[in-house]
Parts: sequence; C-alpha cells; structure tokens
Amino acid sequence: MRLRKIKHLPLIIVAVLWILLLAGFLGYKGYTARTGTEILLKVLPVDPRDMFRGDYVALRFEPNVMPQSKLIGSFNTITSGTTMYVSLKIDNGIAAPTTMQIRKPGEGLFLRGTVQGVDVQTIKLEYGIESFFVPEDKGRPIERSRDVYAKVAVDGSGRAVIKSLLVDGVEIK
Amino acid sequence: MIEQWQKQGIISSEQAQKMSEDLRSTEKAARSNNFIVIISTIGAILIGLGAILFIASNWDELSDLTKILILAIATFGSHGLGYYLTYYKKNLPQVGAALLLLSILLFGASIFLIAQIYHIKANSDNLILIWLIGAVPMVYAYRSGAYAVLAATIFYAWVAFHFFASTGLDVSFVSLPIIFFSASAMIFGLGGLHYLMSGYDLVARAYRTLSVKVAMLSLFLLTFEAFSGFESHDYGDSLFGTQLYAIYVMAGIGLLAMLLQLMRKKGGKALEWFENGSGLFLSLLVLTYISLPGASDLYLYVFNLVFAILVIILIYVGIQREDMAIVNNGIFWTAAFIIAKYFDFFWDMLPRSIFFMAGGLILVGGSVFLERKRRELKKGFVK
Repeated sequence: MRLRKIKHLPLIIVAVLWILLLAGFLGYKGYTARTGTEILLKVLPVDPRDMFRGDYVALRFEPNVMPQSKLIGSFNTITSGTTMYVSLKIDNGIAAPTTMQIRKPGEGLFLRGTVQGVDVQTIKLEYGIESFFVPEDKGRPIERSRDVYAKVAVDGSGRAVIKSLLVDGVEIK
Repeated sequence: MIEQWQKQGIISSEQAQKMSEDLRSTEKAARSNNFIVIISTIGAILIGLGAILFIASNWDELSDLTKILILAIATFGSHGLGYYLTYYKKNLPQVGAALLLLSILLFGASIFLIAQIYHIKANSDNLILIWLIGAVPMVYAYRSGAYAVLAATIFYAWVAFHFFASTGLDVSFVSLPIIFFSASAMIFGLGGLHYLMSGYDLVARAYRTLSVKVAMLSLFLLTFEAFSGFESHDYGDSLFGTQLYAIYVMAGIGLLAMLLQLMRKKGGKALEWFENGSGLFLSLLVLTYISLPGASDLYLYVFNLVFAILVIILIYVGIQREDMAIVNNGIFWTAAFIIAKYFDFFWDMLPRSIFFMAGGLILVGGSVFLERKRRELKKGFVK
C-alpha cells in the first residue's frame, strides 16, 4: 500500500502544483478585480491598423507615456524593465496621472508599471492592461469610436485589471 | 553485419537466418510502435486544438467559470488518463505519453485563458513563465525526453518574449541569436549534468540535442553581417546595456555546469572532454563577443570560421558516438551553410543566369554527394 502511494507520487506532485499555479493565478487577478478601487482611464486614439489584432484590441492610456518632468527622484537609475509607480488623481470620475517615482507611494491611488523605454523627454511604461480581448469581429466598433474608457480595478499595491470598456457610453465586458 | 559474421565463420547459416528473421520482426514491431506514437500524438494535439477552438467559437455563450472548468477538466483528465495508461495499466504507454504531453499544452492553454478573462496584456512573458514552471516538474516526475524538449522549447519562448517585452523589436531581433546561444549554453551544460543522475539519460540527451540544434541555428545567423557585423552593435547597444546580465548569467551557468560535469566524471571518455571543451570554447567566444564589441567586421569572419569548424566537430562527434541524428544535424548545417554563403558571396559578383545555373549544379551535385556519404556512414554504424 505504501509502495503504491509512492508510485503515484509524480502524478500527485504535478497535479498539486498545477492546481496551485492555476488557482493562484486566478485568485491573484480575481483578488485585484474584486477588491481594487474602480477607476476610469481614457483610452487614447491608436492607429486603427495597429489597434485591432486578431481577437484583442490594443489599448493606450495617458500613463503609458509620461513626461520626464513628472518624475520624482533620480533619472539615472531608470532603464527598461525598471518598476515604477504612477500616482493618479481622479477628476470627474476619470483618472489622470500626476507624478511617477521608483519608490512605492505611501498613500493615494497609484499604478504599478514597468519601464519599456526611455527617450529624451518621455518614459514609456506598461501596466499589463494594454489588451482587451473581444469575440471575433467585435473589435470594429471599439476601433472606430473616439469615446472609449477602460474601467480598471487597481489594488493597494498598484496592480491593475481591466473590468470592462465603455464605448460611446455602452459597457462591453 | 550478420552477413560479415557468417562469412567470417562466427555464426552458422541457420543462426544467420534466425538472427535476420528476429531483426526483421523487431524492426516491424518498432515501426508499428512508431506508428502508434505518431497517430496518438496527432490525436492528442487534435483533441487539444478542438477544446481550444470550442471555447474560442463559443466565447460569447460560455461563462468564465464554464470556460475554465472545460479546460481544467481537459487538462487534468488527459493527465490522469495518460498516467493511468502509461504507469498504472501500462497497456498503452505510447498513447498515455501523448496524453501526458497534451496535458502540458492544455495547462498552457488554461493559463492563457485565465489571462484573456482578466484582459492581461496579450504578449506578456509572465504567462509563458507560469507555463514553464508547470512544465518543468513534468520532466523530473516522469523522466521523459519528450517533456524535456517541450519544457526547453517553452524556456526559449519565454527568453524571447522576455527580451522582446523589455526592449524594442529591432534591438531584440538583432540580439536574438546571441540571447538564444547563451540560453543554449545553459541548457547544454545543465543537460550534461543529467548524465550524472541515474535514470535521467533520456532527459540529458533531449536537452543536449535540442540545445545543440538551437545553438547551431543561432551561430548560423551570427555568420551574417546583419547579426554580427560592425553595424549590428549599434542596435545591440541598448540591449547590451540593460539585459547583459541575463546573457552573462545564462552562459555562466552553462560554463559552470560543463566544468562541473568534467570534474565529476574523472577519467571520463576523451569524447566527453572534447564535447564539453567545444561547448566551453564557444560560450567563452560568445561572452567575449558581447563584452568586447568589435570595431570592425572581425566577429563576422570569426563566426563564419567557427561555424565551419563546428559543423566538422558535429559530424565527428556523430561518427564517434555512432549517432545518426548528430551526423544528420551536421550534414543539414553543411548544406545550409554552403547555400547561404553561395548567395552571400556570388549574388553581386556573377551574372544572374550563371549564378542560378552554377547554384543549381552545386545543389544537385552537393546533395548527391552528401546523401551518398550519409548512407555510407549509416551502413558502417553498428546500431
């Protein structure tokens, strides 16, 4: 009986690990989506040729390109891959970036992003919310509209999850 | 070989006949086994594709929970059934192995499905990393070469996506061969260490074979001006500034692993020293290349020379090991190298008509010669 248990060890190890990974991943993102503060981010116009690719819409937001003037702290240590925090202010329900820094802000609402590139005047960042998956052929109205907002849940550590898109006032989940 | 033994009087004609019959029936069984493996693998992949397509085409109708449940049942179901057939019942091991392989693919599909539900950035390298973390334990739980190949392939994909995600497309493209070479040095080195663990020979061979193939492809690309010429450093500069550590770490791990294997196997075969020695030399060359950028096209010539030598080494190692797969690999790269260099050198020099006619003659003549040599070698191998 004991030997038989050891025999099934590979199956048990892999199954437990996979359950942990899938449940952990699901729970991690689900936690942010459920408990995070809901904000609206204005989706910036994207070249339509690039915007709709296959079954997802590529999104761009104001905090994706931050002017270096909004940086708090030294610029020298910032390279591609650096984690940065962008503080947000809410105005008429719409979130807009104010400042950015390497250290996690002690208070307020902020997004946690990764630096993608640095040029003379700006820092490009990504927050993992730059894709919105849609059923096939449902991306066209989003592509055409210029009135698009993303409803995003942001948790206490700045991690964000898109909950839905508001396209011309209509919510798409 | 049996005929030679008969002629030399080592075996009688009856024994020779019996041996030939046994050999034929063994070969027939092996062919039938291969057929089962191919059919069950194709079947497993079709089931996986079907599950993914079913979810994709019913995206609107299915709730998130239903989508996750379908994929979870498919993933754990194929894994459980694969285990049952291979290790518990043991009656259909090939089909079982294919189902276990399928479960790794479905596990990856589950990760990407959850990412879609939460609209996580489409080309996020973290998703591939989670897939890799799930795939690697399969290699060690079941000690299978096929899972090792899949896990290593996922690793290469993660490395590529990680670099693409953190640098620009042009930078990553030019630097991809050097990044993949470092990754191959690591897999080659770590793969060799598996020979020191009992029961992991298949895993070691799988890691080594795949890493040699990828390293050869990387080096082949490095023989072109676009990848290793003086101007390529202009593109590579930003990568070399920020992601250099990863290249060093991977090549460093490979170097240490190769050294460790050589030290642990005292009095090992000369061939092992030769193989690991070649790996060490190549890793050091690549580290020199990224640490000391050339002020000329020097590296371009070095890589061309090294690649030509490496093809010879590959064929030599294949002959010494009597391993046709390694010889085939060497012959494939010989042909690729000759064709590529022919285009490289003569495209501008010769009139088009002569270029194509001479190229055609080289192709036909070369392929007949290489195939004849390959068959001669295969005939000479005992295995």
